Amino acid sequence: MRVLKHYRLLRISLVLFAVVAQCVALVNLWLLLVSGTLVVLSWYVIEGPKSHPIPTWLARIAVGVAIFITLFNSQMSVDTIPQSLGQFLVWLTIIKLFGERSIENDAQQLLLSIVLMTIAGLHAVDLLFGVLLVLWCGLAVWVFMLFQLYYGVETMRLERYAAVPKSYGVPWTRPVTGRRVNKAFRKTAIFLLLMGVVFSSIFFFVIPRGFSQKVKFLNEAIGATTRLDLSPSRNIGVLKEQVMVVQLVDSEGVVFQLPEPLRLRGSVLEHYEGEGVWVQGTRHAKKFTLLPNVYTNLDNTGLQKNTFTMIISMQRPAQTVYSLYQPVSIETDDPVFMLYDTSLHTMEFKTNTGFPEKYRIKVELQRYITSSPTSEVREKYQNEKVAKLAEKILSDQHIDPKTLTNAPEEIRVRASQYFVEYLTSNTFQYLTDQSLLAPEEYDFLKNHEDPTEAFLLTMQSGHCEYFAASMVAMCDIVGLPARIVTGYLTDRWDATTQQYIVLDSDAHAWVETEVAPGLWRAFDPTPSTGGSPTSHQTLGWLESLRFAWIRLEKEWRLTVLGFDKSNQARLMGTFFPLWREKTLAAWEQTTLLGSNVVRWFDIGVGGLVWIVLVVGSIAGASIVIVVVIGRRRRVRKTLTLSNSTSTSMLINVEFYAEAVQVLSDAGFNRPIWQPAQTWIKTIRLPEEAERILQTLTRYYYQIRFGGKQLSRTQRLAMSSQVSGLALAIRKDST
Amino acid sequence: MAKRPVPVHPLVVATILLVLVAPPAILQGNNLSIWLLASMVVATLITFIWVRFTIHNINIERVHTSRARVGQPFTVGYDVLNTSRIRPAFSLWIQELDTKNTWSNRFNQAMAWVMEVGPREQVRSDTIFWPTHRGVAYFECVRVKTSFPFGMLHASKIICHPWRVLVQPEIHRLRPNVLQAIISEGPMGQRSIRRGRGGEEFYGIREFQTGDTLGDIAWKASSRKDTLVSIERSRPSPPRLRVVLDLTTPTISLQCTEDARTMEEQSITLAASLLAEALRQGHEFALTVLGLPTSPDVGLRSGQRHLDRLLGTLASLNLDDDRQKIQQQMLRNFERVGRVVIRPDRSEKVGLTGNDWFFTGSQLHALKHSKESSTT
Repeated sequence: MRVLKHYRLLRISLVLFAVVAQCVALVNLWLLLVSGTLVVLSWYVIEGPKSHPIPTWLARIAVGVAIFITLFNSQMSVDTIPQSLGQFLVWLTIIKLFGERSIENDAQQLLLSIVLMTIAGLHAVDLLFGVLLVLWCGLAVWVFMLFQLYYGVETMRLERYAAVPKSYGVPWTRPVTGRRVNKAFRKTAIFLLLMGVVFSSIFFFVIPRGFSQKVKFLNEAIGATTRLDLSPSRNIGVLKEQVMVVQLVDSEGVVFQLPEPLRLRGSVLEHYEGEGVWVQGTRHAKKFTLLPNVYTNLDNTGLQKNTFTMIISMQRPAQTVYSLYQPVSIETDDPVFMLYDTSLHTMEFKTNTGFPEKYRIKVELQRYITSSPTSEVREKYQNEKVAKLAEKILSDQHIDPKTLTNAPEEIRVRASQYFVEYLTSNTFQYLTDQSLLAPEEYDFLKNHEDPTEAFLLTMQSGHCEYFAASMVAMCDIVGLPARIVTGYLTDRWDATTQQYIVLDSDAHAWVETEVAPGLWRAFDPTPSTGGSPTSHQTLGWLESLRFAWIRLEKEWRLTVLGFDKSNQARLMGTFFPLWREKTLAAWEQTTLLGSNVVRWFDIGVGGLVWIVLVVGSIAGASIVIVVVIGRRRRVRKTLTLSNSTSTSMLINVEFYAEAVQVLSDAGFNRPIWQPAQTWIKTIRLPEEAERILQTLTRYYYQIRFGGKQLSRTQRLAMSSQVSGLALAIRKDST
Repeated sequence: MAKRPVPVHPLVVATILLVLVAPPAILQGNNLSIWLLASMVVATLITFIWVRFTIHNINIERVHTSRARVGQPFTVGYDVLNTSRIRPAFSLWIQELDTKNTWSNRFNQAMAWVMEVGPREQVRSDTIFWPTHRGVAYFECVRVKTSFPFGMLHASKIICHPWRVLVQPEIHRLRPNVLQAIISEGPMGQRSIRRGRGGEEFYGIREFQTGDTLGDIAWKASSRKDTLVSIERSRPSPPRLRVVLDLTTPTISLQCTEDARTMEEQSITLAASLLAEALRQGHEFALTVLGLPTSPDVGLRSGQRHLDRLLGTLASLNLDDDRQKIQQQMLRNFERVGRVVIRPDRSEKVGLTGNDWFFTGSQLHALKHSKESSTT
């Protein structure tokens, strides 16, 4: 039985898929490794030449232990029930896999695999689970069909053995199959699979959705912060999750890469609240309504600028809009409100229905950002010790701190650079994990009222926010306007997709100082050491693959998991107009053909009508001929008449073919070798039906062997008798 | 049929899964659950449609391939025809329906199963019945059922093919000396032949008949009788046995320690075994049943066909019918054969003269061949 040759292997593969999928849904690597190993091991233990199933009592104990462990680990809240149940089912499946080899065990394993996938589907969101689900469904169709056949084979064998006494010994017989069972099975399985995919997809797209779901699956990105707190208890998590991808396109549509790292501005912090807390400044926020696929101008200077386009695709949509330099205009795919600070050139979305995950910004490539001066009423940083340090740094470089307020651009730039050089020197160390500090150092930092002073003068190690805050603090003290800018800094270029890939770990803080009235320039005081966002990283092929997977996962979450009513409306709007267009196009083609025919044959509209009538008649006649031939063939086949039987004979005996068909539908089939008259005596019919059948048979014999011919009226009468026969049989069966 | 592999019905399982999946799908809008729900619904629909169309195109004809005899497997074949042009049929279960106890009191049955029958193909499947009791069995209708591809729903069709089966009584191998003893008691028998020379024995004289040759005429006897007479010659005929089954006593009037009906059946079995043994040893044999109506006696014959006829007679005996008294004219032709009379209870002479053997039903086990006895 070649068709069942791989049944066992496919069955265990299906169970393995289900177990792996459940572990992926639970995000439990440990469970995945252990359970996957046990599943593979069960193949050799049970399916090998010497099958060693575990005893029933041991299996029961194992189930009890699994229940206990599950209850112990679970938090017994409603939200964790699917996860706890999934875990338990994994263990139960493994215990079943080590059970004895029997048809019952096989069925229970298949059932458990269905339940595993169902439970996992309730809470899984990963793309990997989606891939496993699709693969499992395809394999499940195949395996379940094979199981039906395997079940039949085994049951038939048991039935035969049970029917005869044991002492007799029934020889095993092969299952009865047609000539091409393998091919038939494959075709049937593929056909059913395709039908299942098509119709389930149609159901999926058509089932009404009540609400939007996109927001649920996309966590908000971090990076731009509106409040910077230098509290020592906060560790910066170095996450490698992808935040967004950025593509730069010039005015001619060519994708290009910048020579320097991408510095995406998110928010600007210019107010010092004390105790190491810097907050965002917002002064000139203007509200814009962004319409889909329309660029909204943010620059009101009216000047023509040489711009390029940033295309940003957020992996996790965020409220903050990130931009290089100074944005000129912005375009989104969905309508949304946006607040734009015309002074600080920061933007954020204002919406309740979900932030756009893709937008395009036109920016002008320039070193400076034009912005109004920092407000004089803002809280500035004050500290004597830090002031002494700042003045010393500038004095050492022959810059008088007292003159910086009105100094020219060059002096301001140099002063900023000296601060950067001081902070990026070997004196300072880039550090994100403050648990690495000695306990006394940590206590000192925690208890100090001014983290900036502690950082500059004592600790001299911290993350980018410390460096940026320290530089802004020193600039504030010497009268040089400065502000902290938070966002992302990356030069991770994916050559395959021609995009920048921005990760969580690329979140960064740097400084902008006002080098001239209204002109702000970026400076980065964070040293370029390992782990720092300013250290350049090259992208290996494995990472490219990982990022490609992350992008696929995003599409999975948005288009499949997040398929909501808006997506549905868009799909329906695309689908039906498509068909309307196709129908219109077909109609136009037809009318064009008609007019061409008129022109070619020069026959006018009347001639066209004549042609249509002729073609229609030919088509109609062809259909009639096909139907008639089909009927004749059916009569010949039903009454087993030879091919040389005349057409008039076939017409005359058609009523009897209908009668035989009626009897066949009722379960009375005439053997080919038995004459009709003999056969009708062997079947048990109700009295009325028997009488009608005898009449019909008598006429049939008269026509077939006696040369009788029926008129049309008589044929109609015979047909009505056949209907009476069907009715009599139906009455009796009810 | 063998027990279900899963403790609960597949539809129950499907319902439970539906209950698991439907709330997250409908109430929470979980898209994966929606897709799972859609898949389950589609799978159910596909199964529903597929099984209906499959069964609609299946025709079955019963093929009678063997005779039935108690103690031997009875194979019933089915010709399964798939009239569909494109769709193969998988996993077809064929079962005889026993709506009016037509055969279930005679047979243990196994279902027939067909793994696959392709489009426009016909295959033959068979099933084994194990006859348990002698008698007449009626087969009425056959049910064909399938639940392929997923086993959730099934469709079935009933096709009626009336059929009457005679289940012959069980035949036991008897000790060879039993028959030898019976045959040796009676005359060996000589078969009269009309013509023939050389080696045949003198049998007697008869009247001259047209066609007799000169060599056949007994001249001396003819001269004495003044009429032409011919010599009738004979050759030794094989031993002949007549089994007389005396069932004239109604069941309730039988005097036996064991169950009376069982004794009657055993006596029928003993009769059948004796006839089979006679065939095995090359004898001619005949059967007379007293007390119940049977088909007319065809006389002493030999051969498997004759045995089958007599076993059929035994099979069709209905012990519930009224018993008839012995009619003496039935005993007229019992000369020149070895006779054995079998009764369910103690032996009684039935009015036969000569040396007869008398057996009762309870002696069946004692008369069995040693190998059979040891196994039983």
